[in-house]
Amino acid sequence: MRNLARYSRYIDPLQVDRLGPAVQGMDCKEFLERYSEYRDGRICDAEIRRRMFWHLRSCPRCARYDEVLAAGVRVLRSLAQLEPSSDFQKTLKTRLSEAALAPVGLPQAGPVAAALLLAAAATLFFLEGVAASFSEQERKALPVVVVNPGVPFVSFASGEDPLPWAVSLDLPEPSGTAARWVTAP
Amino acid sequence: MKTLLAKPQRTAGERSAAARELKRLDDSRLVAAYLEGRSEAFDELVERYQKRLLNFVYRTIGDRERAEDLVQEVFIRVHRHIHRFDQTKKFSTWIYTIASNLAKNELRNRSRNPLVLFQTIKKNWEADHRPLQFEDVHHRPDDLYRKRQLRELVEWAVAQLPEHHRQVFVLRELEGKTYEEISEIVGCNLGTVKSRLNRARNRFAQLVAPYLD
Repeated sequence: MRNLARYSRYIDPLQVDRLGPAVQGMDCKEFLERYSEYRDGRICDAEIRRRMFWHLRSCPRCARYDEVLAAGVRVLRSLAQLEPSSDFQKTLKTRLSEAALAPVGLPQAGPVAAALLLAAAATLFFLEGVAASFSEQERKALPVVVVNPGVPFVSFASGEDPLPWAVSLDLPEPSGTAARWVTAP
Repeated sequence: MKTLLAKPQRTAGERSAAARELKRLDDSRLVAAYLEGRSEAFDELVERYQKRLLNFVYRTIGDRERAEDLVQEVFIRVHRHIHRFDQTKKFSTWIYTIASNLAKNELRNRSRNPLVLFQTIKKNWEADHRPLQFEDVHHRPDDLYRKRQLRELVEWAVAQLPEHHRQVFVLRELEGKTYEEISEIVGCNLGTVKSRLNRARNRFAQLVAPYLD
């Protein structure tokens, strides 16, 4: 409640009580929620405007908030405005002329670029198809890899003779490991 | 290119008469005049907005040189895209939207680049330590000192606001934009503008209150 005398708009809460229910019924929370719109004259409802007005005049805290904000904004508006530097327009002219010298129609390059890309993709697709049809004639079957975990692919025998028993794929499935099976005969 | 560079073959008197006539036109008529081939109309738009935009961008990013650079970029974009501007809309809202987006990008880039941030802090720090300058000899030095302190205080308080609150606050309190215009410039709905403005004002008042007794 300090500095109350500074706020000429402040009135005694008892006086508000005497003014009746029309000016009562607004707490600080509601006031602060609506404050910005009130300050900017955006509250159309006359009843709410009246309640805001009386709350502002009866509540020292909200009155102080209003006063401080108004004073702060006054100081802010009184600050010296920056002036563009003396060569601002000259530099702008240079930059604009540079922009004018840039390749014409750059902003419109999007659709053209997209069309070119599509054409390139279609050409590649076509060429790939033609190449595939030609190469089909020369295509040879690749050797089929036969996987038989039982057949040893490395000989553990020390002799020069190949192991005729090891090449046959008709051999029964060994019961042990490949190494054991190789040494068995 | 039909802009600042074009040099109409007219006498100085004719040129100044044309300039005076352009000054009387509102923004939308200026845009229309420019699109009809009157290159001086663009000069008038630059003249009309350069200072306002410079101060708006400066308040948003806090760096004078960079602000000037960005304002130039705003005019380059305006020049490039003016033929696409919807003339049923307000030109000032459009140009502020461009400026606002550039300022936002600048802040985003700066937050990713600590070197730029450091340079800005250093520059501001040096500005804080400049000697006192007494603007008005009719006032007592302590009054002047207090006034200067107050000015610095409110500038500092604005800089303390979060970026999206600060923009709304500056657009409303310094540029005098309506809520609808702010909503369009900042690219958010009216409810968000109201809430951001309320919060910004609240925070600003909190920051300056201790010094305004």
